[in-house]
Amino acid sequence: MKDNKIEFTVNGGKKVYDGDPLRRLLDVLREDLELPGAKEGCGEGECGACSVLLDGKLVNSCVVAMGTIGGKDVLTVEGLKETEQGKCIIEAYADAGAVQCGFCTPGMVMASEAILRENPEPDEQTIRKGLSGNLCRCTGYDQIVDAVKLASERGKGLW
Amino acid sequence: MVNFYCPETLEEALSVRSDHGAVPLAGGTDLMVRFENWSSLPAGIPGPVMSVGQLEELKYIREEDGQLCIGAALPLNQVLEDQRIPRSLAAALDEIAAPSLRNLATLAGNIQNASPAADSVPPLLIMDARVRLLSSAGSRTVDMGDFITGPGKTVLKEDEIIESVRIPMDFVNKEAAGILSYRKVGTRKANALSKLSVCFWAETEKGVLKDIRLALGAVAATVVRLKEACARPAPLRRSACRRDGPSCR
Repeated sequence: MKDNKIEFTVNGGKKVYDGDPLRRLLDVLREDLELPGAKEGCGEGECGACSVLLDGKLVNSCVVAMGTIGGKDVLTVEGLKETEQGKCIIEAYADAGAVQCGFCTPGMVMASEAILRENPEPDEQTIRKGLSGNLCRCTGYDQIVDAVKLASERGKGLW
Repeated sequence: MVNFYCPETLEEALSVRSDHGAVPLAGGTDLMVRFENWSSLPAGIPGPVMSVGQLEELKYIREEDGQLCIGAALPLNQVLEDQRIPRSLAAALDEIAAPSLRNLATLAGNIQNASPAADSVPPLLIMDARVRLLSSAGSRTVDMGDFITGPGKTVLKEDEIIESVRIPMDFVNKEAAGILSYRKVGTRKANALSKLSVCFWAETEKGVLKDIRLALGAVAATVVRLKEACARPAPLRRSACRRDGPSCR
Protein backbone atom coordinates (compact mmCIF):
# COMPACT_ATOMS: atom_id res chain seq x y z
CA MET A 1 0.00 0.00 0.00
CA LYS A 2 2.93 2.30 0.60
CA ASP A 3 3.82 2.60 -3.05
CA ASN A 4 5.66 5.69 -4.16
CA LYS A 5 5.45 4.99 -7.89
CA ILE A 6 3.04 7.47 -9.41
CA GLU A 7 1.62 7.17 -12.93
CA PHE A 8 0.05 10.19 -14.56
CA THR A 9 -0.12 11.91 -17.92
CA VAL A 10 1.32 15.26 -18.97
CA ASN A 11 0.10 16.86 -22.20
CA GLY A 12 -1.16 13.46 -23.34
CA GLY A 13 2.06 11.54 -22.64
CA LYS A 14 2.29 8.85 -19.95
CA LYS A 15 4.76 9.53 -17.13
CA VAL A 16 5.97 7.50 -14.18
CA TYR A 17 7.30 9.33 -11.14
CA ASP A 18 9.32 7.52 -8.54
CA GLY A 19 10.56 10.30 -6.26
CA ASP A 20 9.50 12.03 -3.07
CA PRO A 21 5.65 12.17 -2.96
CA LEU A 22 5.83 15.56 -1.25
CA ARG A 23 7.63 17.20 -4.15
CA ARG A 24 5.50 19.79 -5.86
CA LEU A 25 4.02 19.14 -9.30
CA LEU A 26 5.51 22.50 -10.32
CA ASP A 27 9.07 21.35 -9.63
CA VAL A 28 8.61 18.02 -11.39
CA LEU A 29 7.22 19.78 -14.48
CA ARG A 30 10.04 22.31 -14.60
CA GLU A 31 13.02 20.22 -13.50
CA ASP A 32 12.32 16.57 -14.38
CA LEU A 33 10.11 17.04 -17.43
CA GLU A 34 11.80 20.21 -18.70
CA LEU A 35 8.51 22.04 -19.13
CA PRO A 36 9.34 25.52 -17.83
CA GLY A 37 6.05 27.14 -18.89
CA ALA A 38 4.57 27.06 -15.40
CA LYS A 39 6.45 29.60 -13.28
CA GLU A 40 7.08 29.89 -9.56
CA GLY A 41 5.92 33.28 -8.35
CA CYS A 42 4.84 33.13 -4.73
CA GLY A 43 5.03 29.37 -4.09
CA GLU A 44 1.90 29.50 -1.94
CA GLY A 45 -1.02 29.44 -4.36
CA GLU A 46 -1.60 33.18 -4.36
CA CYS A 47 -0.27 34.40 -7.71
CA GLY A 48 -1.34 31.82 -10.31
CA ALA A 49 1.94 31.88 -12.28
CA CYS A 50 2.17 28.09 -11.85
CA SER A 51 -1.39 27.39 -13.05
CA VAL A 52 -1.99 24.16 -14.97
CA LEU A 53 -5.10 22.10 -15.67
CA LEU A 54 -5.41 18.95 -13.55
CA ASP A 55 -8.13 16.65 -14.91
CA GLY A 56 -9.43 19.70 -16.74
CA LYS A 57 -9.61 21.93 -13.67
CA LEU A 58 -7.41 24.97 -13.07
CA VAL A 59 -5.03 24.41 -10.12
CA ASN A 60 -1.89 25.98 -8.66
CA SER A 61 0.82 23.40 -9.31
CA CYS A 62 2.95 24.83 -6.47
CA VAL A 63 0.61 23.38 -3.84
CA VAL A 64 -0.03 20.04 -5.54
CA ALA A 65 1.95 17.17 -3.98
CA MET A 66 3.12 14.53 -6.46
CA GLY A 67 1.69 11.82 -4.20
CA THR A 68 -1.85 13.09 -4.85
CA ILE A 69 -1.90 13.03 -8.67
CA GLY A 70 -1.79 9.29 -9.45
CA GLY A 71 -3.93 8.55 -12.53
CA LYS A 72 -4.56 12.22 -13.23
CA ASP A 73 -4.09 14.21 -16.38
CA VAL A 74 -1.96 17.36 -16.41
CA LEU A 75 -2.16 19.98 -19.15
CA THR A 76 0.51 22.71 -19.22
CA VAL A 77 0.86 25.69 -21.53
CA GLU A 78 3.31 23.65 -23.63
CA GLY A 79 0.54 21.15 -24.36
CA LEU A 80 -2.17 23.78 -24.77
CA LYS A 81 -0.21 25.75 -27.35
CA GLU A 82 -0.35 22.81 -29.76
CA THR A 83 -4.16 22.82 -29.76
CA GLU A 84 -6.50 25.03 -31.81
CA GLN A 85 -7.85 26.51 -28.59
CA GLY A 86 -4.35 27.28 -27.33
CA LYS A 87 -3.33 28.93 -30.60
CA CYS A 88 -6.48 31.04 -30.55
CA ILE A 89 -5.83 32.25 -26.99
CA ILE A 90 -2.15 32.95 -27.59
CA GLU A 91 -2.85 34.96 -30.77
CA ALA A 92 -5.53 36.91 -28.95
CA TYR A 93 -3.04 37.71 -26.15
CA ALA A 94 -0.54 39.00 -28.71
CA ASP A 95 -3.10 41.05 -30.61
CA ALA A 96 -4.69 42.53 -27.49
CA GLY A 97 -1.34 43.61 -26.06
CA ALA A 98 -1.88 41.35 -23.07
CA VAL A 99 1.78 40.36 -22.71
CA GLN A 100 4.37 42.67 -21.21
CA CYS A 101 7.09 41.02 -19.13
CA GLY A 102 5.46 37.64 -19.79
CA PHE A 103 6.00 36.02 -16.39
CA CYS A 104 2.31 35.69 -15.59
CA THR A 105 1.32 34.82 -19.17
CA PRO A 106 1.48 30.99 -19.10
CA GLY A 107 -0.71 30.97 -15.97
CA MET A 108 -3.06 33.57 -17.44
CA VAL A 109 -3.37 31.53 -20.65
CA MET A 110 -4.24 28.39 -18.65
CA ALA A 111 -6.82 30.36 -16.63
CA SER A 112 -8.26 31.72 -19.89
CA GLU A 113 -8.60 28.18 -21.26
CA ALA A 114 -10.37 27.14 -18.03
CA ILE A 115 -12.78 30.10 -18.33
CA LEU A 116 -13.60 29.37 -21.98
CA ARG A 117 -14.06 25.64 -21.38
CA GLU A 118 -16.64 26.42 -18.75
CA ASN A 119 -18.29 29.25 -20.66
CA PRO A 120 -17.36 29.82 -24.34
CA GLU A 121 -18.97 33.26 -24.29
CA PRO A 122 -18.07 34.72 -20.90
CA ASP A 123 -19.09 38.25 -19.92
CA GLU A 124 -16.54 40.61 -18.40
CA GLN A 125 -17.50 39.74 -14.82
CA THR A 126 -17.03 36.02 -15.50
CA ILE A 127 -13.64 36.67 -17.10
CA ARG A 128 -12.42 38.82 -14.21
CA LYS A 129 -13.61 36.24 -11.69
CA GLY A 130 -11.92 33.47 -13.65
CA LEU A 131 -8.64 35.41 -13.70
CA SER A 132 -8.91 36.53 -10.08
CA GLY A 133 -6.30 34.04 -8.84
CA ASN A 134 -3.70 35.22 -11.35
CA LEU A 135 -1.61 38.29 -10.60
CA CYS A 136 -0.09 40.54 -13.27
CA ARG A 137 2.09 43.47 -12.23
CA CYS A 138 2.49 44.98 -15.72
CA THR A 139 -0.70 45.23 -17.72
CA GLY A 140 -3.29 46.40 -15.20
CA TYR A 141 -5.39 43.44 -16.41
CA ASP A 142 -7.58 45.28 -18.94
CA GLN A 143 -5.65 43.98 -21.96
CA ILE A 144 -5.79 40.44 -20.56
CA VAL A 145 -9.55 40.68 -20.13
CA ASP A 146 -9.73 42.02 -23.72
CA ALA A 147 -7.64 39.06 -24.91
CA VAL A 148 -10.07 36.55 -23.40
CA LYS A 149 -13.00 38.39 -25.03
CA LEU A 150 -11.14 38.40 -28.35
CA ALA A 151 -10.36 34.69 -28.09
CA SER A 152 -14.00 34.00 -27.31
CA GLU A 153 -15.15 35.95 -30.40
CA ARG A 154 -12.57 34.52 -32.78
CA GLY A 155 -12.79 30.98 -31.47
CA LYS A 156 -16.54 30.45 -31.83
CA GLY A 157 -17.22 26.71 -31.86
CA LEU A 158 -13.79 25.80 -30.47
CA TRP A 159 -14.93 25.40 -26.86
CA MET B 1 11.49 11.00 2.64
CA VAL B 2 8.33 10.70 4.76
CA ASN B 3 6.12 7.65 4.55
CA PHE B 4 3.35 8.48 2.13
CA TYR B 5 0.17 6.46 1.77
CA CYS B 6 -2.42 6.55 -0.97
CA PRO B 7 -5.25 4.30 0.27
CA GLU B 8 -7.86 3.17 -2.25
CA THR B 9 -10.74 2.76 0.17
CA LEU B 10 -12.02 4.54 3.23
CA GLU B 11 -11.49 1.38 5.28
CA GLU B 12 -7.86 1.23 4.23
CA ALA B 13 -7.49 4.94 5.03
CA LEU B 14 -8.81 4.41 8.56
CA SER B 15 -6.35 1.61 9.25
CA VAL B 16 -3.44 3.70 7.90
CA ARG B 17 -4.62 6.50 10.16
CA SER B 18 -4.82 4.30 13.26
CA ASP B 19 -1.67 2.26 12.55
CA HIS B 20 0.61 5.10 11.49
CA GLY B 21 -1.15 8.33 12.56
CA ALA B 22 -0.69 9.59 8.99
CA VAL B 23 -1.79 13.19 8.42
CA PRO B 24 -4.69 13.36 5.93
CA LEU B 25 -3.76 15.48 2.88
CA ALA B 26 -6.57 16.48 0.52
CA GLY B 27 -5.97 19.52 -1.72
CA GLY B 28 -2.77 20.58 0.02
CA THR B 29 -3.65 24.26 -0.08
CA ASP B 30 -2.92 24.66 3.63
CA LEU B 31 -0.43 21.88 4.42
CA MET B 32 1.77 22.35 1.34
CA VAL B 33 2.02 26.06 2.14
CA ARG B 34 2.51 25.75 5.90
CA PHE B 35 5.33 23.26 5.37
CA GLU B 36 6.69 24.89 2.24
CA ASN B 37 10.40 24.29 1.79
CA TRP B 38 13.02 26.12 -0.22
CA SER B 39 12.06 26.29 -3.86
CA SER B 40 12.38 22.92 -5.65
CA LEU B 41 12.61 20.94 -2.39
CA PRO B 42 9.78 18.66 -1.20
CA ALA B 43 7.35 20.10 1.33
CA GLY B 44 8.46 19.42 4.90
CA ILE B 45 5.27 17.96 6.34
CA PRO B 46 6.56 16.06 9.39
CA GLY B 47 5.64 12.43 9.91
CA PRO B 48 3.63 10.10 7.71
CA VAL B 49 1.18 11.59 5.23
CA MET B 50 -1.90 10.05 3.65
CA SER B 51 -3.58 11.31 0.48
CA VAL B 52 -7.38 11.36 0.88
CA GLY B 53 -8.49 13.31 -2.21
CA GLN B 54 -8.81 10.07 -4.22
CA LEU B 55 -11.31 8.48 -1.81
CA GLU B 56 -14.55 8.34 -3.81
CA GLU B 57 -16.47 7.42 -0.65
CA LEU B 58 -15.76 10.90 0.68
CA LYS B 59 -16.86 12.74 -2.48
CA TYR B 60 -20.59 13.12 -2.20
CA ILE B 61 -23.42 15.39 -1.23
CA ARG B 62 -26.58 13.67 -0.05
CA GLU B 63 -29.51 13.95 2.30
CA GLU B 64 -29.32 11.53 5.19
CA ASP B 65 -31.18 11.40 8.53
CA GLY B 66 -32.57 14.91 8.13
CA GLN B 67 -29.16 16.36 7.33
CA LEU B 68 -27.46 17.54 4.17
CA CYS B 69 -24.12 15.73 4.25
CA ILE B 70 -21.09 17.06 2.41
CA GLY B 71 -18.29 14.51 1.97
CA ALA B 72 -14.88 15.53 3.28
CA ALA B 73 -12.91 15.08 0.05
CA LEU B 74 -15.15 17.13 -2.24
CA PRO B 75 -13.34 20.21 -3.59
CA LEU B 76 -14.95 23.54 -2.64
CA ASN B 77 -15.92 24.35 -6.24
CA GLN B 78 -17.94 21.16 -6.47
CA VAL B 79 -19.68 21.97 -3.20
CA LEU B 80 -20.33 25.49 -4.45
CA GLU B 81 -21.85 24.29 -7.73
CA ASP B 82 -24.37 22.05 -5.96
CA GLN B 83 -27.76 23.76 -5.87
CA ARG B 84 -28.78 21.94 -2.69
CA ILE B 85 -26.33 23.71 -0.39
CA PRO B 86 -27.59 26.68 1.66
CA ARG B 87 -27.05 30.11 0.09
CA SER B 88 -25.19 31.32 3.18
CA LEU B 89 -22.56 28.62 2.68
CA ALA B 90 -22.42 29.27 -1.08
CA ALA B 91 -21.87 33.00 -0.46
CA ALA B 92 -18.93 32.26 1.83
CA LEU B 93 -17.33 29.58 -0.36
CA ASP B 94 -17.58 31.82 -3.41
CA GLU B 95 -15.24 34.30 -1.71
CA ILE B 96 -12.65 31.79 -0.53
CA ALA B 97 -9.34 32.28 -2.38
CA ALA B 98 -9.73 31.98 -6.18
CA PRO B 99 -11.11 29.33 -8.57
CA SER B 100 -7.78 27.48 -8.89
CA LEU B 101 -7.46 26.95 -5.13
CA ARG B 102 -11.14 26.08 -4.77
CA ASN B 103 -10.57 23.24 -7.25
CA LEU B 104 -8.19 21.72 -4.68
CA ALA B 105 -9.30 22.87 -1.22
CA THR B 106 -12.00 21.04 0.74
CA LEU B 107 -14.55 22.01 3.37
CA ALA B 108 -13.08 19.48 5.80
CA GLY B 109 -9.62 20.96 5.26
CA ASN B 110 -10.85 24.49 5.92
CA ILE B 111 -12.38 23.31 9.20
CA GLN B 112 -9.46 21.15 10.34
CA ASN B 113 -7.02 23.98 9.56
CA ALA B 114 -9.02 25.83 12.24
CA SER B 115 -8.01 29.33 11.27
CA PRO B 116 -9.79 32.07 13.26
CA ALA B 117 -10.46 33.59 9.83
CA ALA B 118 -11.75 30.40 8.15
CA ASP B 119 -14.47 31.58 5.78
CA SER B 120 -16.59 28.43 5.72
CA VAL B 121 -16.99 28.39 9.48
CA PRO B 122 -19.35 31.38 10.14
CA PRO B 123 -22.16 29.98 7.94
CA LEU B 124 -21.61 26.46 9.31
CA LEU B 125 -21.92 27.82 12.86
CA ILE B 126 -25.16 29.69 12.27
CA MET B 127 -26.78 26.65 10.67
CA ASP B 128 -25.81 24.39 13.62
CA ALA B 129 -23.74 22.15 11.35
CA ARG B 130 -22.05 19.07 12.77
CA VAL B 131 -18.86 17.25 11.85
CA ARG B 132 -18.85 13.45 11.49
CA LEU B 133 -15.59 11.81 12.48
CA LEU B 134 -14.59 8.26 11.66
CA SER B 135 -11.97 5.90 13.05
CA SER B 136 -11.44 2.14 12.81
CA ALA B 137 -13.12 1.95 16.22
CA GLY B 138 -16.30 3.75 15.21
CA SER B 139 -17.78 7.15 14.53
CA ARG B 140 -18.89 10.22 16.44
CA THR B 141 -20.55 13.45 15.48
CA VAL B 142 -19.44 16.75 17.01
CA ASP B 143 -21.16 20.15 16.91
CA MET B 144 -19.29 22.61 14.74
CA GLY B 145 -19.03 24.95 17.73
CA ASP B 146 -17.23 22.27 19.77
CA PHE B 147 -15.02 20.95 16.99
CA ILE B 148 -12.64 23.90 16.77
CA THR B 149 -11.06 24.70 20.14
CA GLY B 150 -8.43 27.31 19.25
CA PRO B 151 -6.24 28.62 16.45
CA GLY B 152 -5.17 25.50 14.51
CA LYS B 153 -6.68 23.25 17.18
CA THR B 154 -9.58 20.83 16.85
CA VAL B 155 -10.86 17.81 18.77
CA LEU B 156 -9.86 15.44 15.93
CA LYS B 157 -8.02 12.49 17.46
CA GLU B 158 -4.85 10.87 16.10
CA ASP B 159 -6.79 7.93 14.68
CA GLU B 160 -9.75 9.88 13.28
CA ILE B 161 -10.53 11.50 9.97
CA ILE B 162 -13.32 13.89 9.05
CA GLU B 163 -15.95 11.99 7.09
CA SER B 164 -18.45 14.75 6.34
CA VAL B 165 -19.94 18.04 7.37
CA ARG B 166 -23.65 17.80 8.16
CA ILE B 167 -26.17 20.60 7.91
CA PRO B 168 -29.64 20.21 9.46
CA MET B 169 -32.27 20.04 6.68
CA ASP B 170 -34.41 22.14 9.00
CA PHE B 171 -32.20 25.09 8.25
CA VAL B 172 -31.68 24.21 4.59
CA ASN B 173 -35.45 24.22 4.09
CA LYS B 174 -36.21 27.46 5.87
CA GLU B 175 -33.15 29.48 4.86
CA ALA B 176 -34.77 31.03 1.79
CA ALA B 177 -37.64 32.43 3.86
CA GLY B 178 -35.34 34.44 6.11
CA ILE B 179 -33.03 37.42 5.75
CA LEU B 180 -29.45 36.52 4.88
CA SER B 181 -26.39 38.67 4.81
CA TYR B 182 -22.79 37.62 4.33
CA ARG B 183 -19.91 40.08 4.14
CA LYS B 184 -16.20 39.47 3.99
CA VAL B 185 -13.65 42.23 4.37
CA GLY B 186 -10.20 41.54 2.95
CA THR B 187 -7.43 43.56 1.36
CA ARG B 188 -8.60 42.52 -2.08
CA LYS B 189 -11.44 40.53 -3.59
CA ALA B 190 -9.60 37.27 -4.37
CA ASN B 191 -6.98 35.31 -2.44
CA ALA B 192 -7.19 37.59 0.59
CA LEU B 193 -7.54 36.41 4.17
CA SER B 194 -10.56 37.78 5.98
CA LYS B 195 -9.92 40.74 8.23
CA LEU B 196 -13.54 40.34 9.27
CA SER B 197 -16.36 38.16 8.08
CA VAL B 198 -19.98 38.36 9.14
CA CYS B 199 -22.70 35.84 8.53
CA PHE B 200 -26.21 36.84 9.56
CA TRP B 201 -29.53 35.11 9.16
CA ALA B 202 -32.92 35.67 10.78
CA GLU B 203 -36.55 34.82 10.31
CA THR B 204 -38.99 37.70 10.10
CA GLU B 205 -42.53 37.77 11.34
CA LYS B 206 -44.64 40.90 11.11
CA GLY B 207 -41.62 43.18 11.18
CA VAL B 208 -39.92 41.35 14.02
CA LEU B 209 -36.69 39.41 13.68
CA LYS B 210 -36.84 35.96 15.28
CA ASP B 211 -34.37 33.12 15.49
CA ILE B 212 -31.52 35.56 14.90
CA ARG B 213 -28.22 33.90 14.04
CA LEU B 214 -24.94 35.77 13.81
CA ALA B 215 -21.35 34.58 13.54
CA LEU B 216 -18.14 36.57 13.19
CA GLY B 217 -14.85 35.46 11.70
CA ALA B 218 -11.34 36.81 12.36
CA VAL B 219 -12.29 38.56 15.60
CA ALA B 220 -11.20 36.02 18.24
CA ALA B 221 -9.17 32.85 18.73
CA THR B 222 -11.88 30.94 16.88
CA VAL B 223 -14.79 31.97 14.71
CA VAL B 224 -17.53 32.90 17.18
CA ARG B 225 -21.29 32.64 17.16
CA LEU B 226 -22.99 35.40 19.13
CA LYS B 227 -25.80 33.63 20.91
CA GLU B 228 -26.44 36.07 23.76
CA ALA B 229 -26.70 39.09 21.50
CA CYS B 230 -29.26 37.24 19.41
CA ALA B 231 -31.30 35.75 22.25
CA ARG B 232 -34.31 38.08 22.04
CA PRO B 233 -36.51 38.92 19.05
CA ALA B 234 -35.76 42.39 17.70
CA PRO B 235 -37.85 44.81 15.65
CA LEU B 236 -36.65 45.10 12.05
CA ARG B 237 -35.82 48.71 11.22
CA ARG B 238 -35.02 49.33 7.60
CA SER B 239 -33.06 52.45 8.50
CA ALA B 240 -30.65 50.25 10.42
CA CYS B 241 -29.72 48.42 7.25
CA ARG B 242 -26.93 49.63 5.05
CA ARG B 243 -28.61 50.44 1.78
CA ASP B 244 -25.62 49.45 -0.32
CA GLY B 245 -25.28 46.07 1.35
CA PRO B 246 -25.34 43.23 -1.17
CA SER B 247 -28.10 41.18 0.38
CA CYS B 248 -30.04 43.59 2.57
CA ARG B 249 -33.73 43.77 1.88
